Amino acid sequence: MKCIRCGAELRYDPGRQMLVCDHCEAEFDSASYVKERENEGTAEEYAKVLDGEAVTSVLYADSEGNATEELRVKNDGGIMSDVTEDSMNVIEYVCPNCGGTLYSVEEAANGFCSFCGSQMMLETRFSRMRKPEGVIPFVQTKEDCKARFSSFIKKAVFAPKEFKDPAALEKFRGIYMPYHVFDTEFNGIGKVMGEKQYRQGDYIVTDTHLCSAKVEAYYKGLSYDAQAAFDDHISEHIAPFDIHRMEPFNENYLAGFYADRADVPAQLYRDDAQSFAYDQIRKKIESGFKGIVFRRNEDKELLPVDVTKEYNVFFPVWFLSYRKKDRVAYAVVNGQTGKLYCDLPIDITKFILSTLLMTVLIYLILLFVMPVLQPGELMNVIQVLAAISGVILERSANRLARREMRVDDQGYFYKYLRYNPDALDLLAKSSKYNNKKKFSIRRFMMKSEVVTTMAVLFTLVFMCPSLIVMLLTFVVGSTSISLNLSIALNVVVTAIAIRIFVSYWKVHEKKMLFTGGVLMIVGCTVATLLSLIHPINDLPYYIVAAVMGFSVVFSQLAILDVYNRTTTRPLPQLNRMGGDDSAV
Amino acid sequence: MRYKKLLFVFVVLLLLFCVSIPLCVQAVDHYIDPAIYYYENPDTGYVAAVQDNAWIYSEEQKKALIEKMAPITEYGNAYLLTVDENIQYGSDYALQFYTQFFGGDSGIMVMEQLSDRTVHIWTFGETKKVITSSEISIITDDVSKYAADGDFEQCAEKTFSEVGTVLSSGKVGEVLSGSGIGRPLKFIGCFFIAFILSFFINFMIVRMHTRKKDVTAEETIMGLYSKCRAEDYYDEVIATRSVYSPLSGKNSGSGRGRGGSSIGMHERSINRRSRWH
Repeated sequence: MKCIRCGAELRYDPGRQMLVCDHCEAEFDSASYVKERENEGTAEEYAKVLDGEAVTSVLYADSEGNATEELRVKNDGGIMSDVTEDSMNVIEYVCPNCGGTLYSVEEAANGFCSFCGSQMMLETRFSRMRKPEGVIPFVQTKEDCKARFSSFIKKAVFAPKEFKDPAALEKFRGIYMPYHVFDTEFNGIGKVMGEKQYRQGDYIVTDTHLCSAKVEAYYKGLSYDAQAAFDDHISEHIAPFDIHRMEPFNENYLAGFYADRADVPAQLYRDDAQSFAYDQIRKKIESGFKGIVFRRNEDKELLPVDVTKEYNVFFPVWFLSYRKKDRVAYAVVNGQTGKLYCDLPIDITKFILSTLLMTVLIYLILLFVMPVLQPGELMNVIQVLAAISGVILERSANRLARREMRVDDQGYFYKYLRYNPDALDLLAKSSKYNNKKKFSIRRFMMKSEVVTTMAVLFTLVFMCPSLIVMLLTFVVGSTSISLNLSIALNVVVTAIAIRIFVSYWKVHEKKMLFTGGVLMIVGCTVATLLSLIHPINDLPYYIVAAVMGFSVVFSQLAILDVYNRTTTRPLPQLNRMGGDDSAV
Repeated sequence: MRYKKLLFVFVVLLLLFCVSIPLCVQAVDHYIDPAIYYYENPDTGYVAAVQDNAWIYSEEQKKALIEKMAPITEYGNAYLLTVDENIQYGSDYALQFYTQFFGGDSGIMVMEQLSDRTVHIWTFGETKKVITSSEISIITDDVSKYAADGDFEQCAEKTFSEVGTVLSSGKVGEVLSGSGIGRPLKFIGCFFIAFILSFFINFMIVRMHTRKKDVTAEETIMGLYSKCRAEDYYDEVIATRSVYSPLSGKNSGSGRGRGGSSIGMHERSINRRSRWH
């Protein structure tokens, strides 16, 4: 995008909402600048060959005598033709490390990759990209973006120091992300089914109601990100974009920014758009009837919402990546509203130091406040803390497994994982796509890996004595509340440990399992035996409490590790071998 | 002016009277049953006494016990009572025994009950501030096994030994050293609990800061072109199901079935029209 006055590169300035030239400080309105480019003068052609494709570069001199260049592609008939109106010439930047690709209408800084954070020159080539129907221009400038991020990171006490480095913020890159946008509509009689129950004498009467209303509704502009590499989780959190600010697409808006290409089909999100509209219309109908309990998701055919239009739009996003070893964290800012999303890991050293400082304070308070605990009671207290720690670890690990598999990311799942059996297995268990199959021990055992099965059996062996003793003490009667509590806690903690082994076996880094889980099971088992034997000496209780305490400490370190892995991502591998590049 | 002077004198006398009461109490001699084996500390005036109502100790054993109890008289009275009755001894009952001989003096009372082989400990006065109920629990826990085995002498010796350890190492207000029974692992346990709680608090702070709020449907709709208008509401009952369920008496029906052949179930259609404007 050349300045017609001095020939320097133009860029779109979000603050001024105009094309600006940093060299001669000229400003151009986007629409009028296009018209000026169309005033062509004499032409001079010469041939270039790029990637085996015959491309002709055509130089134009505009009315003021400045040179500008356009590319023309030789079609199958050998006739030089202009690039079609539906597509535009772009420069494609490809990261040799991860395969991540960005597009720009001009030469731009290409010394790092936004997807994997690699500091290397991106490979460039000329390409074409289909034009979207519309674009929401950038409103947030880079300075706005940096200010928002700085304000956020100031409050993050345990953020790693790399996040607080002001120099790193310069790597914020403005990218136009492709989105599929849907217009939905429903005009007609909408119906929903419901029930009303009441008593009539000795009978309970249930009336099935068919409630209907004349509805006139539309929801235009429902958007879903069309890029597989752009995590749905991120796009959901920087949403919404205000579609009212959408402009007809003009290449000028891309000046100074990058763009990405849609690579997942629109039909992937069509149902989501219909479901959203359906839910809103349904709520409206239901609000007109009182005292009726409405069913859910059983009668969508009574309220058929149409998708009247599907089209692509570019939405503005500021993108920043932090890379550490084999993990990368993203900070993303909505280029229109400024809403921020940030993967924020913890600096473990800072966290531990802060915990130790707080430990001293709480220790002093406990010495004054806490009564002296009997050894058995101390063991019980640590078991309760172990149970809490186990639950947090299990939930964190489950979240990590889902994040690593990206089962909740429809676009990524469609493009890269729809033929992956592990991912499909995890997806089947997911509550979001649950097909409500009945749990079968046989199916579970056959599908599980051998080691997982062994771990489950091993743990069950230790659980059985606890369960039997607990049953006996309840039947026979026992005055030892501590014993029953201890056994009950053992069962709970052991069950949690089983879940830890089973639920995140699919996580790539398995060694973190054993630091928390195994010690917890061993500690629980010994605690159960101790409760049964009930020795007079205190030392065994303290030893077991210490073992349980260490297991809790190890599980907490595992929690930190899992948390950091959850808030970062593996380096993307976006090489488009076998991908559906033409999906638009 | 005169009345003020009189008032001042009255208040001073009243204060002196109040202060003198404990002194008076302390000056009163208490009756010690000659059948009780006892030792009186010449410096402090506190007494160590053994009242063997259950007749389980020989004279030599009582002497040996008195020697073990003697160091406690530096801090307060020490009273060992053995009983054989099969009744529940509460703290009021124990207080009666104790105050009968020692009044409100500081001290400790240990009672060994033969009928159920248990040992009970009570503290009085200043001793109560050092040997709290927690300390008593620990000591009881340590010595109860001896009582359970019938070794009451060992039980009493161990009890007073631990009491002496606590009293000699602990003073009122010095909580840290108050538990001089020797429980270093107790502090380790406190440290573990403190560390675990600190971790939970810090982790909660991290999670609260990074919690991401989901976009609501209302926020989404604000960014769309949208319209949703409904009118001419119409409600039709298309099916009715009745289940027999009497309010009182037995329910002879098959319960709340939604299908099947429960008694009293039938279906009928009613056309009903309602309008809301």
